[in-house]
Amino acid sequence: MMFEEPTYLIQFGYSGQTLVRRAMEDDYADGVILSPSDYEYGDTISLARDVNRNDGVVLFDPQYYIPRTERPASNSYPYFKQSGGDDFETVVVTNNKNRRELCEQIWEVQNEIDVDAYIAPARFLDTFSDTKLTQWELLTKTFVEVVEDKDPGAKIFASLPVAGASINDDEQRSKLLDIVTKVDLTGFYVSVEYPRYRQNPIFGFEEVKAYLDLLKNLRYNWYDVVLGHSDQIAHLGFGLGINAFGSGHYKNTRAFDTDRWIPQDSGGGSAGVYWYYSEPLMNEMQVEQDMQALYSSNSFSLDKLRLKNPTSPFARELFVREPEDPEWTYKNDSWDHYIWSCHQIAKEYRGLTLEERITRTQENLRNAAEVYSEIEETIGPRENIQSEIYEDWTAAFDSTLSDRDINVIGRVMP
Amino acid sequence: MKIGVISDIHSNSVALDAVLSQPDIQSADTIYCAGDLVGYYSRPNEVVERICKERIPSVMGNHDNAVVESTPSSFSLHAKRAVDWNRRSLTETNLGFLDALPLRIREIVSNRDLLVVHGSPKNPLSEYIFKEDVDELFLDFYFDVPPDVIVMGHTHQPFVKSVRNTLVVNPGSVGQPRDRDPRASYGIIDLDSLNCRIHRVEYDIEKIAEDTSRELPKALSDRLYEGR
Repeated sequence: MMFEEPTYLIQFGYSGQTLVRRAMEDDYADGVILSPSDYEYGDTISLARDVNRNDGVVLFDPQYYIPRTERPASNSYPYFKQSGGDDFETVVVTNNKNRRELCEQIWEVQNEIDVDAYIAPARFLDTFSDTKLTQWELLTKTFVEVVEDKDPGAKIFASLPVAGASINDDEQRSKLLDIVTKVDLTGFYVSVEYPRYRQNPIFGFEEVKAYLDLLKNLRYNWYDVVLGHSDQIAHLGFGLGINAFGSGHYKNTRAFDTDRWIPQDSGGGSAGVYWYYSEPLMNEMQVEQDMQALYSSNSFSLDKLRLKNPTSPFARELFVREPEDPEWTYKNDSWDHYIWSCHQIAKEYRGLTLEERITRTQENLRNAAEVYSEIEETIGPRENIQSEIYEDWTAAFDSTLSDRDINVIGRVMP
Repeated sequence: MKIGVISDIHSNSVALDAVLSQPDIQSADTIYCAGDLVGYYSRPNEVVERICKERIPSVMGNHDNAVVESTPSSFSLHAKRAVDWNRRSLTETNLGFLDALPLRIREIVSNRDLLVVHGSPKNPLSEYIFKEDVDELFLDFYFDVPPDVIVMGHTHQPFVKSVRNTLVVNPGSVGQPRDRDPRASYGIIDLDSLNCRIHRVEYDIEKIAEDTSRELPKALSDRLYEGR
């Protein structure tokens, strides 16, 4: 087991080194998941050293499932320079010699960064066709072979970037699980991509259930699981006995979103964050539309929100004064607060048995629904977020866990 | 005399077969293709071979050029992946056929001066010409002596417009319509009356979508259902 207790890993790019260092020094993060598109190679190594010095976990997602990126940072990594950008072709994955060379380069980079566990490159699985699954399997197995040759006994996570639409189909999900669970490794770094309208947060009983079922089955098979780019859904993950999630962007509510790496995408994942939550949003699973609506309403009370989270070291700085503009006044501290809040999610599940975790998740879901009701009473139904979302999450979570499931997962827990 | 006009097939042989099975295009005296036989979808060999078999005169489109030359950095992520994959999948014979496509066709057909290009008359590979771009200035800018009929593709948006004595036609896209109508698009030009009618035909989208998703990004398949 890599993660013995609930853990939060920062996934933060775009000049966020200072935030990461501050969070590690002040102990409100457990580690990082770095990536080639965030920082140049030298900066990544330097940041990893600092995280290690603070006893933090360092993982590096090689992001080879996002080919053809034109982000300049990626090209400072040898494997992207030689096999990425405009020169990338998926044939790299299918040719034995090229694949081995690519995996060796990716291993070397992660070794130089001094990661605590390796993450394999992966074929992006937007469908589970035989071809794509075979390419995923070949790439993952080759990487495992390389690590076993170079660093026997090292921990290895397979990257599992999948499309939400594909895991919704029970048969397809089983097909995926049959293939991926054949690989002998420490665990999976899971990222599920949903259409943007479904991301903030994910909604729909079937969608949530399918996602949880995937996670549950990986856990069943004794794999460690890291939820990439997740925050609110981490509550459900911890309730399933999963012990690690990564997030660093308030919009990463359940997705890793390859589209945002398309160079023409003006958003580029770097849009400013002007809305924020002073209450522990993840604990109550609020969404930004609610907050924006609250702010816009006549009955809005800044203090009401601020006072709900008296323990955050950053909450006071978030809203220095009653904002007069139609948007929240942006404060740099909002990022620190976000990271701190994510860490609180992990902390609140520590030391709990599986049954206690399940109860905690269910309580948090009930709280979220109640807060939503309060908001609805104050400002009316929300246009973008339906109240059913909370019922969907609760129903999906409850339907995922039978008594047998609890017994099996309970045995897997450290 | 009637001629069929098609464009932007993009390796979607299912749509092409549906279009070529229509009685009005089968009874046309000849058929022209305004380029982009390949790219985006998963059946490039079937498309090229059908075009050869039917002896359909075609011009080169920017995706055909990308496949035989190199993948442009300006293409979208999914278009790049598809071009790379098409290049690897095409037989040498079919690659040779694409490489030999002309940039433009200008010939006299039934006493009419006909021009076929993929993009625009001066930038036949890459320039987009939409309906609103076509006016007298357009004719004056591009031609000393305008042809009677101009057929262009590239935008995936069908239109028919007459300017002075010139009929300008974009038959839309066979393989990837982008006007929110997922049906395959083609045109029938009556050279005698100098008119054109755009036709739409339903085809088995699921068939090409499933086939494509096995190898290529699923997003390419998804857009077919919405005609975008």
